[in-house]
Amino acid sequence: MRTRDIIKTANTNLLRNKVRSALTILAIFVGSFTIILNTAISAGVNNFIDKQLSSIGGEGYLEMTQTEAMESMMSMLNASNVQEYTDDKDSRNNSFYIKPEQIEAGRKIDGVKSLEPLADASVDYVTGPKTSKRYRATFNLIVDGINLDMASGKAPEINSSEYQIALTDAYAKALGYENLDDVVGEKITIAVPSTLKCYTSENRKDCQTLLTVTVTGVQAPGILAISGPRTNLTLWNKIHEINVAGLPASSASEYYQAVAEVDPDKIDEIKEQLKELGLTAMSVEDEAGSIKSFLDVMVTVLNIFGGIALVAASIGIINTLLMSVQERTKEIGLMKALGMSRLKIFFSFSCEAIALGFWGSIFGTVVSMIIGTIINAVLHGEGMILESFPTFELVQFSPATVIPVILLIMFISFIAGTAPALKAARKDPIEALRYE
Amino acid sequence: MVKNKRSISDGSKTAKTDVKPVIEVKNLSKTYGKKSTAFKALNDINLSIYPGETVAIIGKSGSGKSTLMHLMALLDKPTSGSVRILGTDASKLKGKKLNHLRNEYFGFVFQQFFMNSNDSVLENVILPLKISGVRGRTRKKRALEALDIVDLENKAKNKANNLSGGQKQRVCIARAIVNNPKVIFADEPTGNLDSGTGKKIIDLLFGLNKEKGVTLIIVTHDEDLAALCGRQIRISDGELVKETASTARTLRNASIKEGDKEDK
Ligand SMILES: Nc1ncnc2c1ncn2[C@@H]1O[C@H](COP(=O)(O)OP(=O)(O)OP(=O)(O)O)[C@@H](O)[C@H]1O
Ligand SMILES: [Mg+2]
Repeated sequence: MRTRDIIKTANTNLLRNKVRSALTILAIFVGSFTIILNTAISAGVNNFIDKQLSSIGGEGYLEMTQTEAMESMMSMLNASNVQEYTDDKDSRNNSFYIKPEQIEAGRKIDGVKSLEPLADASVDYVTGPKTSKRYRATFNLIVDGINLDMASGKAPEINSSEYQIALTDAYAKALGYENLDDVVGEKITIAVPSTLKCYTSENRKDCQTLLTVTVTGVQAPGILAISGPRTNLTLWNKIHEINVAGLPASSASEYYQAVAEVDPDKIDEIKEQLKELGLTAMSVEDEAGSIKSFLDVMVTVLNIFGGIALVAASIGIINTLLMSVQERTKEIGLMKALGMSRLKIFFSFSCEAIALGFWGSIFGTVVSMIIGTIINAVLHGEGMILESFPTFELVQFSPATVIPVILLIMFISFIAGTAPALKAARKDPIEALRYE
Repeated sequence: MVKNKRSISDGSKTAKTDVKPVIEVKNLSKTYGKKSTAFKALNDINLSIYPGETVAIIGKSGSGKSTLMHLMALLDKPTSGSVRILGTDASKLKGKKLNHLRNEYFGFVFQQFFMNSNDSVLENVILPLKISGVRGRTRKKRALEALDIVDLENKAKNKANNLSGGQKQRVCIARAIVNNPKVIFADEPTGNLDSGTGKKIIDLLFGLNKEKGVTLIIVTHDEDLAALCGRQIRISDGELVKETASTARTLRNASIKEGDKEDK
């Protein structure tokens, strides 16, 4: 018997008992639907996170703080921990700052391309020509090598002579620009305080410096923590300069943070070496890691449900095929009497099992695609959580994720079908022919 | 003893004494069931069937005719004794060779038809060709030819279940001959037929014997049909009681149309 004939016969046999086959396929469908939809959601979210990662500085970007700062923060939370004071430098609380020696040593680590202390830059508010309101803000600095995902305009140029800023969707709207394209090239105003002056000023206004800043564009929304208006280095340094104006040099150059650009392939070793220097470094991936691991747990749990459904479906397959073998005892006997080999009889029943798995998973794929499209559309609707993420498809199908699932389900079906198929293959022709 | 008898059998091709038997049965016994329910359906049967022979197996109902036929056709395994096909012990035939024998060397007409009743008549006749791997168009053509021979070409598309008993029997004969077998086993091939249709089927089978040298083994309780065969093997309560050969005269009297003319 030709393979084609066997496959055709298998499908014909399934059609003979439409209700029974349909119910079995339905059981497989439930499992495959769960797994395929789940895989698609996890693909969508992972893709989104990866895209976000590459937008905020990519793989070779490290942010670091003094390890001791973190530790003493933790120990302060522990009320029973009382430490003795010595005259030693490290006993002082200013050990939270990153020391120049650490910066120097860090720069020498193999694979570190640049390592710069990150000065603090704080502003009081932003406002614009189209509004009389003032809005509080915390800025971030764009980093060399960053690929900002822009919704309009372009990213600020890091070393431009101009003061440049990329707003976020929310700030652009607050400043009175409904259309994100309109804000590109606009001049907005920011108020920067001088710390020392503000101690003595009676009126906050007296210690604020107003800066005029060019908006280069609006960032596409991101889900990661590091999002907010981003300035170029020129503006950042200017803000810092105003912040620390009049302070003694020693305290003006105290840095809580440093950023480094490193070779992405060596990132783990570099982190390890920085740790020896007393610096705790985090890559953007580390920050995204917690989101990803939460997602992984969720996907695993849902996949277990899908798996349980598939186990139940496998029992359904076994049952369906056993009934089929029983019903077709005579037919099997006849085929054997007419010279059909055991292997081919086995194969023809296996084919039925595989066909059940195939149709169940195809059905599952199609329905989960339809439901996925509906979910995407609903979540992007007005007032829904994804309204401001037009490019983010929560449910994302790709042949690379769907086909392995289909193949896996076909394989599981094949395994489930082996026992009935073996039973059929082992039938004695004369016994089978006598069966009424 | 058997060889002497064979020399006067009808098939001219079998006249030489050095020809190997197609089927050789030695001390064949078959017991059904175990211990208390054991039933000896066949007891110590010996016989040889030579290429081109026509052999009738006759006996009362329950005497073991079908059992003997199934054993000779290798559909069942004997309790003791042996069946040799063309000199090879059947118990040594396994897998591919056995399947090839069943599929292309033997043709079967079962007493209870054994058709796939939900399939079409054509599908049923095609089955042996499908199993042997003949491709779509060729096998359809050959199946239709076989159906034409049994006068059922116009029923090809019908569901097998919807045929009359006689029509089913003819479908089974078409299925038995479709793969051009060298040996045809027919269990009561005319059992369900009126004498006219029965005669047609008999003519067809004997025609295959004359023209292609097909060996015929026919199980029957019809003495007239048995008399048409070159040899009659009588079975009673599982024992071979008598083996007779038709004389040239009986054969002639039985008037097998074309075959008879050729003989003269
Ligand atoms: N599977 C079986 N189990 C037990 N006994 C069996 C079995 N098959 C056949 N027999 C018995 O063996 C004997 C011979 O059966 P068989 O079918 O060979 O008879 P037969 O000569 O073909 O009869 P008929 O002319 O009625 O077809 C019968 O008595 C029958 O009851
Ligand atoms: Mg019988």
